[in-house]
Amino acid sequence: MGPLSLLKDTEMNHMAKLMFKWAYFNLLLKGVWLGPPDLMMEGKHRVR
Amino acid sequence: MKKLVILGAGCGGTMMANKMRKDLDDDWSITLIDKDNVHYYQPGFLFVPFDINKPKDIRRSRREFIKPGIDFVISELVNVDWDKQEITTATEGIFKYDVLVMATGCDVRPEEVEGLQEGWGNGIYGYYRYNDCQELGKALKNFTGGKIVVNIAEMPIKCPVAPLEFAFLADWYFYERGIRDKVEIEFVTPLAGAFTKPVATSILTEACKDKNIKITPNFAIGSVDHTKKVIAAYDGTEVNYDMLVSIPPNFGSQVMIDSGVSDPMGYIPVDKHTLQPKGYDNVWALGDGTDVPTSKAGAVAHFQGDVLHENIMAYITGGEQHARSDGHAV
Repeated sequence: MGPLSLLKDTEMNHMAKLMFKWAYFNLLLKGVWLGPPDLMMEGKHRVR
Repeated sequence: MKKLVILGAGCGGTMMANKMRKDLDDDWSITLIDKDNVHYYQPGFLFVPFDINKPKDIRRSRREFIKPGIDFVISELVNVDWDKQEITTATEGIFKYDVLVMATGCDVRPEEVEGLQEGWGNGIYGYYRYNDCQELGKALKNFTGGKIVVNIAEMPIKCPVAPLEFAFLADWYFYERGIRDKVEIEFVTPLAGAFTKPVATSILTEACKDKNIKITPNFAIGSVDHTKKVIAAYDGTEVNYDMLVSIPPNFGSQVMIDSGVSDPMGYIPVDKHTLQPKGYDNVWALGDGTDVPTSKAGAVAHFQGDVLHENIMAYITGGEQHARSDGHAV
């Protein structure tokens, strides 16, 4: 997703996880709209 | 005045209260009820044992995140009655509602595994509670070598990938301390592999091999003997440890069990798409406290919150409720 590799063991993923605390307190808890529902499937492949 | 009552001021409940306050007019009161004024950033529990997050950084006042116009009530819940449409609290009386949202979460219960609670803090630790993650941090600092077993007692648990993350962080932590070669790490799980999904399991199994983390799958724990430092499965298999990092069974709120509105494990039964209990069109639930087959994680609660927000607004205004949850987290 963006610069982040799902399931990869990278420093970028780790830093993003640590930075999530800011998003949690400043956006998520406040009920800020974070994007369209399609975001949920970003980076995934549907099995047909 | 119409009344919206929200149970639980954790991630899901706080988010819902704030979302609804933005769109409900002054004809609606919003009451948010929880037992205390402490909000924990639960993802941080995983990092405290490794000194990446400090305990003070993950503990905040609930009020800090609640918008003006929301009544925040601090009291233990005593009873939930969907038929009478009322909530009974221990110290603040009874609250009637027109719309109810339940976000009462789940918690670990070491006492549900024979011998686990008895050894808690004595070679056995966890990280899913504020005090536990700090105690685990102290134990890790004093650990100079031996076998660490990370054990999931049973599913479902909060943040299913966290136990594996713990094992990976332990690998890094002991490497940094220069004693990784003296520490054996074993991941003991009731699942058939490293994770719940096949693609992720394949990748994460390789990651475990790279990090010299042994995976012991299909282990249904039956008991713990903290004097012998052994965990035993129902089939008789035993795994010894020097330090056990336990992920005990997770249960929903005891009040839900006592009120007769949950399954025996305290999870509120709801339609997995509408997040409503059968037969109650003014009641919704979200987050870790429901029985929907998805991850118990804040990200799931966030997306469920969007569904609830849209459908509750439609219910109030008499419109069609189109939004459906599909259980995805990220």
